[in-house]
Amino acid sequence: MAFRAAEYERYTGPRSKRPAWWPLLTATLQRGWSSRWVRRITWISLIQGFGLCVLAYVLNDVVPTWRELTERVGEMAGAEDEIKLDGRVYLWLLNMFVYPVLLPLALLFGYDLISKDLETNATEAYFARPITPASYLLGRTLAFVGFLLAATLGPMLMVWLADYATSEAEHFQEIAKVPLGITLALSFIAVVLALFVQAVSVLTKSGTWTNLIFVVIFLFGSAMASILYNMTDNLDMLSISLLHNVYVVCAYIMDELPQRQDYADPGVVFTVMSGIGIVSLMVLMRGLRRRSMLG
Amino acid sequence: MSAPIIALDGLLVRYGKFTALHGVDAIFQGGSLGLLGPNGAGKSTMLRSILGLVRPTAGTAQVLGVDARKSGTELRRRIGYMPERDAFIGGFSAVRGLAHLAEICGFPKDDAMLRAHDVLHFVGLGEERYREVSTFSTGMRQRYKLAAALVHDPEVLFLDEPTNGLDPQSRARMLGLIERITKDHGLHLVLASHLLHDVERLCQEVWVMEGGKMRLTGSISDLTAAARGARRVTIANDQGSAFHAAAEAAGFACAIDGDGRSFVVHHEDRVVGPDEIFQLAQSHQMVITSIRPAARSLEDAFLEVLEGE
Repeated sequence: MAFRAAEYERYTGPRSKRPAWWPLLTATLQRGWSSRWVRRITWISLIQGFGLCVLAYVLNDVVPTWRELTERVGEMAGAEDEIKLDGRVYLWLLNMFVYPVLLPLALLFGYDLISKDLETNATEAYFARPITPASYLLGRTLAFVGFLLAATLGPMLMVWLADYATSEAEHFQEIAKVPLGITLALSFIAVVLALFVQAVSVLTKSGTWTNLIFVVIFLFGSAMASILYNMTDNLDMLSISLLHNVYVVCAYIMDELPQRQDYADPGVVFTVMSGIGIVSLMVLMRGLRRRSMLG
Repeated sequence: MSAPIIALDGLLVRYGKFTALHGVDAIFQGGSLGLLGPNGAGKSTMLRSILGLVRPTAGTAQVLGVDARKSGTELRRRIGYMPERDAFIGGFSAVRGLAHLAEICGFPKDDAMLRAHDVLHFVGLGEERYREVSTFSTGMRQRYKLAAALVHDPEVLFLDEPTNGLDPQSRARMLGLIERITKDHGLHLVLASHLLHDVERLCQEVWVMEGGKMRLTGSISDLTAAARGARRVTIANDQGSAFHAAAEAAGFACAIDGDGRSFVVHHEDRVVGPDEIFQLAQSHQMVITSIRPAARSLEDAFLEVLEGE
């Protein structure tokens, strides 16, 4: 019966047993999808992935002799390595998907997930309800991670499936460890990045400042890493660059770290990235707990 | 007898070295309660404790028979809270924002949307329900917040300054809505307000707080009832000072009230009868235009409590 009806007593309908963060997750995904640019980035990534699927099909099924052809061309050009569509190629593809997506998605979607709630005081409306700061953060973060993975992991898995489905059986050995590797690497990076962007937004309480600070950290960090490395000759200095760390994390987890010594020790990189994630989480929880003190 | 709506037992809340609540004891059996107190009195801390958002240093806060500290999250499903400041979800229309909040409280998606439409109609925002809340006027935002507090079908409603910033017409409308909610829908109401007239109109009981302590609890009718058997006397023009002198000479305490023609007459030991006043006036050849039991306004009672400490 309608609340405005004079005979209304109480709501007697069913109550959902879903956790409180679930509606927050779905609402955040809808909010992201309603952004034209977020939709464009996601679609472009998925279309690129689809294009590569078609390419894998063409190479494996339509021109099955492509390997010999390219090897012959390679020999003529003096190349030493055998042409293989293995983990190294997938690492290269991964970087192709990750770098153009991370920064734009953070700037267009992640930057105001929490700061907008702080601006409109929506956190007060949320925390007066049966949702804890941790659940709130979980809902928001999963949505952000979902978009990051949809635009990176999604197309990568599509390409892998197409490659696997259209290639010969023995090719599977070369690419068997790829899905787990890219899933772990991208999930780790997406979670750290999502926490980091949101922590900056809690500190600044402004979407614009979050974006500015994030761009500065992302780009300036890379420049600073190179300068410090050249000054100290210590490769670990490169780990202050998020872009460098993203590459090392992906390469290390996929077991495709190149032999050349121009990257920081993976242990240092993982420590830095985990540190960023943990500190971001602490900043977020502290900020949100304060906001949960209504009034 | 059913459990009280709110039962505070020695509720002590400390933030570091600062004590926000000094072991407060109070019981609210139900109906409507006004929470009064100057800024910094501890009202917000009490509210947070009742909602289970602040862990008391000692003591307990039981709401609807549930310990707010242990089951705060579950309790907030049964409480509707209207904050003083604007609070809405940016980028959402009014109806979508409310449906979202109802879903968080466990309403299935379709029921949440129906309920959101329903409460927006109830508060008079039916025509505006597809607009973004950020485009609403102050009055509309206040009504939206009231709808947000109602959308998940709470048993108790906490309203923090619901008429803040409203013009007289919007204020009357808001008070009318709150009155309907409490009378027609049987919701228990806790109203924190600085506007004593609002509290006097809507509430049956008050809690007056100051400095983290409970200064007064009681029903408004008791607080504003005849004050210690005193009478409010109004006399004819130009006889004010003479009446004042005569009453004092007769052993009454006589306080001027208003324009110099009205007095509150009382005696320390007994009820002042109307006959005594008439006799006094007659003996001094004065004309009394009215005589009635002296009542205090809630404001008098409130100020008395605060100034008396």
